[in-house]
Amino acid sequence: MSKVSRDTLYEAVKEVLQGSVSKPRKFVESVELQISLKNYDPQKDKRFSGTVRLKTLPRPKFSVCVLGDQQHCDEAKAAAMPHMDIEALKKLNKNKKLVKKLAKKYDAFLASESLIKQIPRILGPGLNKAGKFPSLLTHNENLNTKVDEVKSTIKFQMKKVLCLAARLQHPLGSQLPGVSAEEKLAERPCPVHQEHHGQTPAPLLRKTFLLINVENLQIPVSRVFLS
Amino acid sequence: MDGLEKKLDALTIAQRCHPEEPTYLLHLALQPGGPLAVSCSSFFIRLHDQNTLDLLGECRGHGGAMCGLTFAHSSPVLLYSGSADGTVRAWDARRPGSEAVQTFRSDPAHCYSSVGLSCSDTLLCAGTEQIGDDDSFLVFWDSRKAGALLGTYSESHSDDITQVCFHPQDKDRLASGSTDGLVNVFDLSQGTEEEALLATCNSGSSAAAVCWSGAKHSQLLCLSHDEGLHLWDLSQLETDEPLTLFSATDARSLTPLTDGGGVDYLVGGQWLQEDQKLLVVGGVSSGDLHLMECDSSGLHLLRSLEGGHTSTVRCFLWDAARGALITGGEDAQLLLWKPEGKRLSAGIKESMKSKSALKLKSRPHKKYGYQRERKGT
Repeated sequence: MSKVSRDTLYEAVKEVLQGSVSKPRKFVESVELQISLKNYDPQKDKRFSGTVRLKTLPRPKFSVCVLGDQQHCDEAKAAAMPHMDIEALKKLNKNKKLVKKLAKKYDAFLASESLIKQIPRILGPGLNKAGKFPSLLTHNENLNTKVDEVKSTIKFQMKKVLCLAARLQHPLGSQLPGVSAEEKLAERPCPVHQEHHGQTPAPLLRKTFLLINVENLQIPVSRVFLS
Repeated sequence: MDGLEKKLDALTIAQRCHPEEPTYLLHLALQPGGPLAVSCSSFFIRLHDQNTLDLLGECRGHGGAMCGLTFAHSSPVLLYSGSADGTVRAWDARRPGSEAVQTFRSDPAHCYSSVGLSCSDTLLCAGTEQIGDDDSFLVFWDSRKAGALLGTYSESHSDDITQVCFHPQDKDRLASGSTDGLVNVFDLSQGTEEEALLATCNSGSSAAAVCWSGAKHSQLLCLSHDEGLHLWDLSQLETDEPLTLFSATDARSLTPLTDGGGVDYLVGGQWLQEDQKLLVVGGVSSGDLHLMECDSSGLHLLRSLEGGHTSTVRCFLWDAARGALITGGEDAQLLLWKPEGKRLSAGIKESMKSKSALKLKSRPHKKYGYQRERKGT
């Protein structure tokens, strides 16, 4: 089982970037990495689902709110990060609409140990339903590092469709010079496809061909085949 | 070596069952004195003699992927199975080949991705796949009345519910796991879903297997689809101590094996009440299995089993009554590992049917029959 060669990947990325440059769009373009697994039967093979941490931040506008104890709230305040303490959460009075509103306001939540245990009791299942239940924030880790971790972690799941798409939002604007843009973009797909190789159990790999589609959403450009 | 390690060290392949056609063996269920039930990726259930692994019959009827299998706790006769075809069926294990004795349904749009039965055998629950953008349900029935749906929970998960795990002793306690990464704990005696939700643990990934653990069954093991491992202690819900006893986002990076390496994938976990240990089974791509113990300090190797499977192992079951391990996998093999005196040679392709002790004894006139017919090792 081989991995995508660096050169092949750079070629593919180059094509995508060229495509973007040759046909300029009036909005910020995103690059989507599509991974198709062949010989994989979603009905009987082990589920292909989980999260992966990318090396760079694909979603710079991603907002994280800290539901913190005294210490974490102070740290969040110092870092100019949105935060709420247990009193602020209790004020929502388990009101479904207010909790839903809170869930919509931020992309993700981090919560201190003391708070995270009480979330079902204080807020009810509202954050669960929105798919935004907080991740644990301990006192052993740096707040900014943890926030970056949350921002750069993406979910992937292969369900009925045999294609896995991971959005690597990258502002492709005319400001980006040729070479460094390639490198920047190439760096992002790299960790993703390497991680995916690791995720699949080896017996599956033996009978699987990987088709990597580096695609600019508007202009399907390059396909990389792997055997 | 402690008690459990001694038991595991004595394990060798006692029976090997190779069905004719290729199929994945996905779930196992067993009750003392009853048949061994195995669910297959071809949508049916096979019943085997638990000692000889001889095929006793098949339960056919499901039209979609099997998502779970369980015997009623008080009887080895009633077998429940759930499927993506939107039904949970109850079978009479004494009459395989006949139709299901009961069929449970809910909304026609529901596809089940997990099923469980309470320890009192009265409450049956199925978890559905995601419907629409973010709806997934826990559906409850009274097991004694197939027609009557008791209710649904709809607010606590936002994606496919892959595990429904009732508490082994408390009939009102339920843990559910989902691809949304959350493991929810409910007290079903409470009126509404909101009141019932006791705790939500976040694996940060996608929950594949959930299992109750610990001396007081107050711990939860969660294995994720990308081989993460989490052990939570629910008795710390009201204290200042953290819930997490142990957590690894990628259990493959742990190195409990003798060669200094780790497993390639995890199969599942089972709490061994007699030995007071949490058994976690992992495998490597070659088919070798590794039986490990999990506690707050991580994974520790107990025994490696070689020469068994040739592909991914999907299910296992430790039968404390016989000190035996049953495993099933994508190679369509069903294996029974027992503490036999003599180790049988690991001929993977050939049929390994050692005669049962009863059969040997029933040949009174053959003086040296036993010795002559024993396959040499």
